[in-house]
Amino acid sequence: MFHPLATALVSALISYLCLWRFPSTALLDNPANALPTAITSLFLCQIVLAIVGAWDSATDLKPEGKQKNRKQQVIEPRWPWISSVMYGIWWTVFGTITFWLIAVLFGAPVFELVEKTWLAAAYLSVLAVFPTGAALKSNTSAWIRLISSTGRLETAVERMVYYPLVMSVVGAWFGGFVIPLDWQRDWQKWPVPIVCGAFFGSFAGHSLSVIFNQLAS
Amino acid sequence: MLKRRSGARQTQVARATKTSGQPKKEQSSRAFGTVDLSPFPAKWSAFGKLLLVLLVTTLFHLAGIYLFGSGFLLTRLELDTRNNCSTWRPEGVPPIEANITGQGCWHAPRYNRAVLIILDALRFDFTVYNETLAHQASKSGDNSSIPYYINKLPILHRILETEPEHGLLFRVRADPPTTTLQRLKALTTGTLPTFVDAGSNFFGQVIGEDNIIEQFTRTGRRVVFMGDDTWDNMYPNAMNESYPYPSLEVWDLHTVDNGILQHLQPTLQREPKDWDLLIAHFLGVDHAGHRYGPAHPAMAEKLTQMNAVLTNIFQEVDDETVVFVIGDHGMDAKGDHGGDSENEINAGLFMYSKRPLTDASAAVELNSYLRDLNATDFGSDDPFVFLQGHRTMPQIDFVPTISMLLGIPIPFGNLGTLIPECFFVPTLDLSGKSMDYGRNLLEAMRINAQQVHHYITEYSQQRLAAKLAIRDLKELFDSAEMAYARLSTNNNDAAVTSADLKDVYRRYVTFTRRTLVAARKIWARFDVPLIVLGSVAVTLAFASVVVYAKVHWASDVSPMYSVIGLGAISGILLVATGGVRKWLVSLEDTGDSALNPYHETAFAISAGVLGTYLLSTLVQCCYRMTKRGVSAIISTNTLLGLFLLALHTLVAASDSFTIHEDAVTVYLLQAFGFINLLWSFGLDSDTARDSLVKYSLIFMILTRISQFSTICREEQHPYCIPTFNATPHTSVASPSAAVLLFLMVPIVALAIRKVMKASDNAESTGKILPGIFIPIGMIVSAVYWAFDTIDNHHILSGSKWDMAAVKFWWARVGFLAISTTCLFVWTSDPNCLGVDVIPSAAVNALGVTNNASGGKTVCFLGIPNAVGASYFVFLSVVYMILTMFQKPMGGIMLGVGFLQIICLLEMLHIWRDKSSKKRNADIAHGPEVPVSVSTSTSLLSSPQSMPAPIPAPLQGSVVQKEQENADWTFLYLVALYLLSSRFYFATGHQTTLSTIQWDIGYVGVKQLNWTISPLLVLLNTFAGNVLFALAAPLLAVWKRPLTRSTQDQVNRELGRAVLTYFGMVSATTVTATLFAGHFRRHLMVWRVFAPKFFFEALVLVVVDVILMIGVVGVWLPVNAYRDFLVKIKQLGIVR
Repeated sequence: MFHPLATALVSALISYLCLWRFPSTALLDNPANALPTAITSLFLCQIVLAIVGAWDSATDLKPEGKQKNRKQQVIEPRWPWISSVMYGIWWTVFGTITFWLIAVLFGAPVFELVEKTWLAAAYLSVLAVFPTGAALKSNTSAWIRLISSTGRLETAVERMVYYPLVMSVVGAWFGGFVIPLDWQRDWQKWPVPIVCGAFFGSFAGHSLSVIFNQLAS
Repeated sequence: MLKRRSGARQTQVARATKTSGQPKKEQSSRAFGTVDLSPFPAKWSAFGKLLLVLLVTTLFHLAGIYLFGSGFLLTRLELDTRNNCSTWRPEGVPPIEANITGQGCWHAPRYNRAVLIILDALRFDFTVYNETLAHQASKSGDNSSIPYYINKLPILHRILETEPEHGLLFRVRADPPTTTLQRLKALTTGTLPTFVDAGSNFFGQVIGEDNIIEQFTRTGRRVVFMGDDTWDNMYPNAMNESYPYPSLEVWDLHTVDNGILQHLQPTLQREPKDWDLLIAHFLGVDHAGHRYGPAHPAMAEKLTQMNAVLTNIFQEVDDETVVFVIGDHGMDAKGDHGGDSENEINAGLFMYSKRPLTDASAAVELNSYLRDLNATDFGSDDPFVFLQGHRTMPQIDFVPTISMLLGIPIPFGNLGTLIPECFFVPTLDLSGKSMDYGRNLLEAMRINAQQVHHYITEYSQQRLAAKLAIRDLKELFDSAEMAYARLSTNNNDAAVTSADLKDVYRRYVTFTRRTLVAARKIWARFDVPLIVLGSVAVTLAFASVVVYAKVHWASDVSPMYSVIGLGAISGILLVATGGVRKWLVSLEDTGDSALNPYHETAFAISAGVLGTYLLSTLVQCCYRMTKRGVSAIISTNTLLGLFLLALHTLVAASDSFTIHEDAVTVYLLQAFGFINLLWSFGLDSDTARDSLVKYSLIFMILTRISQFSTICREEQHPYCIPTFNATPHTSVASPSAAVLLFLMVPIVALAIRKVMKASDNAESTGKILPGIFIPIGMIVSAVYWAFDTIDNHHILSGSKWDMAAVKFWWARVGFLAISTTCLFVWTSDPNCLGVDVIPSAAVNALGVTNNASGGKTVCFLGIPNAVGASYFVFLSVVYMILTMFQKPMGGIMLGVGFLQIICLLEMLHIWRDKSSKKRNADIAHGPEVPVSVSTSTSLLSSPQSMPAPIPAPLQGSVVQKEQENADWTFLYLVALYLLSSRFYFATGHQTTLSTIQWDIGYVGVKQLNWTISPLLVLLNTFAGNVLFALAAPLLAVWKRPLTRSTQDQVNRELGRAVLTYFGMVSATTVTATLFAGHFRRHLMVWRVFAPKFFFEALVLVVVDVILMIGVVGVWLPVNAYRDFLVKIKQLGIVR
């Protein structure tokens, strides 16, 4: 429905606005205050994007035969966006828990700063996992293709969600590098580096997805 | 039943006909799990060559480290000479007996008693009263404009205002490192600290040099001490009374101070006074600084409390007492210290006495003295008299001042100069003659100068290389002595003007100050030429290891030895002509360089050999490339491994990352585990995927668990809570850790057994050791540590059990018996192979063609992993021995690390197997591939064929397969190396000297034993490095069947793994060295960079030795396996 470039631009724009513009307190000053607003607004924006069909699988460039098969088997739902949103929400919740576990595995404290760790996990999940969930729904093979990073991506939608997903996780990982430095800056406080890293990573991911889509088509 | 069993076992069907000469001739060769069982010639030469390469590269590394270290770690010799009363006597005064209480020794004492109040981290500006601020505040009625640390000691100001003759305030400048231990050492001995004071005790805190405490007690005076327990460690049993309190708990602002206050008042009020020196070391200010920083209400509160304490002391002391209030160092804006910033080195010194300290009538005269000194050039920019209008001096000036004021000998090594204000008073000399103020100062100063002269003469005789510029200094001293002699000869009082006195005094001060400047130069300077030489040498050594492993190890190319020989000769020639020296001298001003011919030769040889080696290899490679073309595509695995390795290596580039290296290792290891997990989702085979996911998750969880154990380094506060011991400020393990250690025993034992069973190697030695002896050994060590914990917590202290004796004998008998038994069993028969006889029908049922149906078939168990499993048992034995010397928490963590090795082994095997399979699809008749447990079902459907001569077009694929295997091995070696670093930290260590667990040296010995104890401490400290370095060869041989055809390949991979691992350690050592050299002026150089360099250099040596042991440890099973094959052939089992 959307052109990949449009989706990427809109996604990048809303992630920027939701993190840096909407919260009443600046992220660097008080992350615990700013992040809930950022997460909620981003979540709502993502839902709206899902409703208008930004990651609609109709844009898939699937082989003919498969398309036919599906038409025969699946009755076209009346509101296709409902499943998109529902899967998006389900995967976001799952992603939040997973990211929290991953954060703890990577060394986040278990019993301290619990709320902030959850916020970072939720942000990462809403930012990167929601679009993936909305696009792939319960397509297991596509999920495995994406996650294992070894299989070839098959559709434009997969490319559109894959690069932001991977790059925001990678960005969050790189963000962690600044935590031990003794520079005593605001942006070194947990979980700001993770959130910022994820944000810039997803930005880079959107650019990559546009480029690779262009290359593929 | 049979199916399950066969599935679980790698059976070797020996029936597959094998004739002795040609093992795999005509046979149908579609036998189930068949491996070539013909004996192969085990080549010792490959192993010997590997050992030789390891040895030679280590020697080159050591040469570089030695060069760097001798330029970087400047050492000062601790002379144990003591001054005493008869060392120096003024002329005309009869020598007196030592130990005469209360009598002046070298100079007439002004006071009988001294109170020394040390306010830790009392920065100079804390002591200065800022009138402008106070005025402003009182006018506006708003105190908030005054920082929390200003004007909080008004008592000092009041004394200076109301009774100026009774108080003196100075800015004293401490020499870095500004850490309490170093400062206390300087404050008692008058010496300059260096990182390593080479003396009788290398690392201990006990002071080995002459010091004022000893001088006090030796002249029969009594010393009472209260406060920071560092003193007690420095002067064990030296004090007559001692009330130490723990100094490590930075969070606690009050325990030490309140403890002192309990004892201070009664001691001050004692009648008669039974002490001559009272030391009270308050830590509250320092702790408030560490915890909150200076600009915090807590600091104001603490300083105000100290103000009250001081007020009280000044009231309580009598006329015969002089009070010193001194800060051992300052603090920076964050409240920390250790470096050499202005805020850290400027401390305050306040002196008070009820009897006037100074003579008001001489104030003008004194000022002219000071102005005179201020105008004198002492050869340094450091302020020695005034700084910003305040009287300023080196902190060690305190030492001669207190000695002369109290009439005790100045400590032998003192380099300070006495404070003129205190001696510019008329007095009586020792023989009872009266002296005016100028004369008094001069006499005292002369004694001071004599003592300094004596010291530097002795020192430069002891250490000839010490470039103290002794001749110039001697000249200065002689000229001062001559001027003094002139004064004495025209002993006509009228003729001696005060200007003459002043001139002689100035000469003496010039001498002592210049000596101090010269001493600072040699003990606080880096030797840049040596640092450069060392850096170049270690970098070349590192590059050579990597190049050798990549290009020359087990390849058809051999190094150009003749060129290398030429390089060595030309290097030596270069030294002979003095070329290196000339070049170095032009580098930087090298006046003090300790460069000597040994250094030059070491450098020239290593640089000559390694430089030409690298150059010739480059030429070789270029030549080969032009012939064969470039075929270097770096795989994703290698890239990931290199990336993680580079990040870990670059930790040394930043003090913050080095401080938090324990967390960095977790971060990198988890990245490895996480990517492994993601990759495993991409596998097609369900069983392989499931076990990879399982092992990756277990690996990640175990890595995180290992982070729960930490012993924090000082710089990690406040983000770290020590969990290694029961409480942060003990070195006693918690009982729960001792209990957990018992729980680890079955977990690890079962894991070992499971691994052995999975590859059918739980036979023979593989059954006895993992099944019986290793669990017993682990229980023995757990019991020992349970005893230790019981002993430390005094649980059975009332009972008749003598825990010390129980521990001693348990360790001696138990540890020794079990470890020697295990090693003996393993070395006498390393094979973990078994034989089984199954009905041939069962084999047939499994799809194996077998024409002798109805008969029985002999199966050999564990053939595919013969060497790997045997070495694994060896590794388990070493693990068991290492846990004996780990405290309970360390033992638990080492167990966790061992489980992680198992995870790595299993994962690596699946990946390698996977890549072999993929290749196999391309190669119809490929060579032997390892047979995996998890994919044995697929094995049945596509039986392996015997190695046939590989068709020429497929050669490339074989090479590619080996390359792919090598890539996986490399990635896992990086993970292994990261783990070795992780478990260094998890076993309760940090890269600081203070976390070395010295008490391990007493396991199984009653008294410190100089052969066993250091070995135990080494095993404890480097347990992680040892265990994981020993696992490096295992990665290469794990589940690789050793046959006539694969023997060379296994040897190649073994050598590559060992050299790669050594290269990784070398990379870290090189970066640690380079960055320590680069940051030699950094604030944290002694706290972070130098210990890191030290540690990495040690690790390099330890790992090298361990890798050599590992290579021998692989050779033994290889040899034993060969013998086994020979035996079964002789017995005719294999035809």
